[in-house]
Amino acid sequence: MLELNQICVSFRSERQDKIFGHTRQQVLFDVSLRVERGTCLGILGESGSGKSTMGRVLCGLLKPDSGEVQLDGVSVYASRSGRRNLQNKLSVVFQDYTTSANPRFRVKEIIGEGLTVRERREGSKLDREKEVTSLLELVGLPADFAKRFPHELSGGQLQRVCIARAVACKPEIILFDEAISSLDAHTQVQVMDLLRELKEKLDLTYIFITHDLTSITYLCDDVLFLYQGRVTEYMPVSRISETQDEYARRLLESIVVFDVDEEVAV
Amino acid sequence: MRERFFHNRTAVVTVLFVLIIAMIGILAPVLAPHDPYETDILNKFAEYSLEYPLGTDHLGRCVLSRLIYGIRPTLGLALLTMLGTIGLGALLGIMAGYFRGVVEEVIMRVVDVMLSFPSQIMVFAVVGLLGISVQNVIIANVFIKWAWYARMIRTGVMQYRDRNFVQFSRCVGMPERFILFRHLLPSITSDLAVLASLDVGWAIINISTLSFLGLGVQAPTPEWGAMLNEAKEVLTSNPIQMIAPGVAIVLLVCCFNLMGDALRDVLDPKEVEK
Repeated sequence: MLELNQICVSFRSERQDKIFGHTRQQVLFDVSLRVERGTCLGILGESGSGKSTMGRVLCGLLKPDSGEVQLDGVSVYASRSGRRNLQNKLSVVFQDYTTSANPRFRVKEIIGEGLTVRERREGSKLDREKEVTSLLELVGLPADFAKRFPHELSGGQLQRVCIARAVACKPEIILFDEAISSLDAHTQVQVMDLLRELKEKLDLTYIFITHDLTSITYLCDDVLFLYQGRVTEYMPVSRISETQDEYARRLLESIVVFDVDEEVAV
Repeated sequence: MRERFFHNRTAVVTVLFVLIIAMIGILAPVLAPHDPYETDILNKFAEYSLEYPLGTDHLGRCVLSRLIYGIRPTLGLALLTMLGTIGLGALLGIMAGYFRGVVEEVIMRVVDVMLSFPSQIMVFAVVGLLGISVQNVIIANVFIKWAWYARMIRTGVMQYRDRNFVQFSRCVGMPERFILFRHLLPSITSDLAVLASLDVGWAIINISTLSFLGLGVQAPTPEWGAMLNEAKEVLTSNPIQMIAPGVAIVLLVCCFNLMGDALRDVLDPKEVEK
C-alpha cells in the first residue's frame, strides 16, 4: 500500500567551498521499497545511514529531491490532497519519548490530540473521556493515568501513551522511529508484545526504523538494510540468515550472541 | 497550576501588591483625601501632617492624592504598552520561529533594523515627530520595543519547533493554528510571563522618563514621572518632594520584576510541588 520509488534526498552542506557555493550532501540514494497492507517492514541501519531521514520522507515532512512516494496509488508529495491522504492514514511514534509529548499537556490531552485528528477526519464528535479510558486500557495503563503529566510517568509508560496517541488517530500505518530503542531491555519486550497485539487487533501496518536487529526479528516480516544511504539488502526476515550482503552479514554476526541470549531468556 | 500559584509566596505577594495598587487607582475618587488639582498656593511645601499625609507640592496640592490619582496613567499606560509590545512581539516572533524561510527572513531583518537604533533616542524621535500626547508615547514605546521581544520569543519558539510533539502534530495533519496556539504558545508562556512583567517595569520607567522630560503626560495631570519632574525644580530647597513619587516608582517596578521571576516558576509544570 505504501511505496517508495527511487527516492533521493540531499541537504545543503553547512560548510561550502565557496561563499555562494551550492554543494549538497546526498543522504539517500535511489531508495525503493514497498509495504503491503498488514505486514511489518523493518528498516535497519547504523547511525547516520539515513534511517531517520527516510522516516521523515515516509511521514510526509520532507520532500525528496527526486523519486515518488505513493500511498494506495496516490502520490504523496505531488499535491496537497496527496499529503492529506497520507496524514489521514499514517501516524508516528518517535524515539525520544521525553520530547514526544508536550510537557504541559496531561495524558488525556496528549491522547486527545489524536482523537481530534479523528474527529476532524470523520466530522463527528467523540466521547473523549470514554475513548481515552479505552485507549489507555488498550496499551495496558490504568485509567487514572489520564490526569497525569508526562514527567509523572516512567519512560515505558510514556512510550505507551505515545502509542495510544498514535492509535487514537485510527491510522492504517504506524511509523516507529526508533520507538523502543531508548527503553530498557525488559520494557522493550513488553512494548513489542503490545505492538504485536495491537497490530492484530486493529489490522495495522507497521514500519519499524531501528538499529536493533533483535527487535526486527521479533516483530517484522520484511527487513531492509540501509548502509550509507543505499539499500543493500531487502528480504523477508525468515531468510535473513541467507543474506549475501557484507554489511548485513557483519551486523548479523555482531548480534548473534545477543540473539542466543534472547532465545534462552524467552 | 492554581495550587502552585498559592504555594509560591513571592508570586502571591507581588500579584496581590499589584492588584491592591490597581484597586487604589480605580477607587481613587473615594480614597484620595483631596482633589489632586486643587491648588492652595499659601500652603505650598507643607510638612507631612494628618491633613496632608505626604505634604503638598509647589502649588499646594496634596501629594498623596496626586500619587493615588497618578496610579491610573502610570499603571494603565504601562499595562497598555506591555500588551501592545508583547502582543506584536509574540505574534511576529512565533511566526518567525515556526515558519522559517522567507517569513523569518523578512521579519528578522526588520527586527535587525529596529534593533540597530538606540531605543531611547528613537522614542524621543517618534514622540517628537508625532507630537506630544499620551497615545503617541504608547505608540513610540511599542514601536521601539517589539523587536526585542520578537527576537527573544523567536529563540524560544525555535527550541520547541523541532520537538517530537510538534512533529507528530504536523505529521498527522493538525492545523497550524493548533500547533501555534496549543503547543508553541503555552511552551513559551513562562518566558512570556517574565518578559511581560519586566516589560511593565520598563514601561513604567520609560513613561515616567518621558513625563519627567516633559514629553509624556502633561501637567496638570498627576503622573509619577511628571511629579518627579515638578519636584526636580525644587531639588535644592525641598528635596523631600522627590521621595513620594520616587519611592512609588521604585516599589512598583521592583514588584513587577519580582513577579516575573515568580510567575516563571508557577508556569513551569516541572517545578516540584513542595
